[in-house]
Amino acid sequence: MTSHATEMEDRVAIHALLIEYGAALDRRDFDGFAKLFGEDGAYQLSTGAATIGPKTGEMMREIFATGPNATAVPNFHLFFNELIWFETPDLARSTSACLFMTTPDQETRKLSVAVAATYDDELIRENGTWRFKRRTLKPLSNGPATVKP
Amino acid sequence: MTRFLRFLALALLAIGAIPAHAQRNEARDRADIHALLMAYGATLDSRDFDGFGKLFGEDGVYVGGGGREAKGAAAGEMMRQVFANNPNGVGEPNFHLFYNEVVTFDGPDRARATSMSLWMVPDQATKRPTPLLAGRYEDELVRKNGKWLFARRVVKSVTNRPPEAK
Repeated sequence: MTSHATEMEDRVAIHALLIEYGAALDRRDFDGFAKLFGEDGAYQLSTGAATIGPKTGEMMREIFATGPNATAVPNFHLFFNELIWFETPDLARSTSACLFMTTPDQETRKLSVAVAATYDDELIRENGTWRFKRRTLKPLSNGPATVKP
Repeated sequence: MTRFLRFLALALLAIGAIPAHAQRNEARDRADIHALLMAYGATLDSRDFDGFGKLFGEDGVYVGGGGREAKGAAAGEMMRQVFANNPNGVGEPNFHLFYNEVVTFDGPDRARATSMSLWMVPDQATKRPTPLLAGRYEDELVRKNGKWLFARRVVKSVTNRPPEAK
């Protein structure tokens, strides 16, 4: 862990990056979402191959168009448990967690947690802007319901 | 003595040459603004509506979730009425849960913030804390007499809209 002259403003900028990840998805700005990964930032789901750079936006566009996220509107990201530490002044790591809140009952619009996940991030400063070098998403799942005897 | 005065003049010039935004303590300002955003919910949760109104100073504008608007101390009175009427018939205890806070500065005494909240209320059947409302806040903040206040807070509800037409 390092301490450097711009650490506080770097923490502010990285926090804004982590929040913008969800804000871009919540407003369906998939092009803006992809820019958070630059040209070669990797978005890694817990299984499977990583998606790189601009393709991350297209992947999320498809998920929101055809996946379960499309059916329960409004929905939004709720972030918490954020930790940031620096390996060098231009390279940082972060862990955080998220609830993806949805309103599956369209009559009551009652809020419900659709997905809980943790993020494991490598972050890099490029041309003065912090972006994701690698983001690994790990969904938290309770698994299938227990069979009652 | 002349040498001292010359040194003093140079020192004052140097201080004056530092931009105002560089002289301020940003970490302290961020802590104070965070406390202001938390006080918004804490005063409502404790039903301290006079304290709530003070967060808007004399002329800060509060635009509530339904679009109703109030200025300064009247913001506290507006919320006193809202809680007295209890339109949602919610039980107690209930509380605000804040998240996704981002603060940016427009100058040494002006800032903007976006953040979100859940209003947690007990489920009538199970008594478990349950999110009833979700809101997004868009704030203009100002420092007056050394204290950060809401110059304008707009609340945008993100749930519980009427169902969309099929």
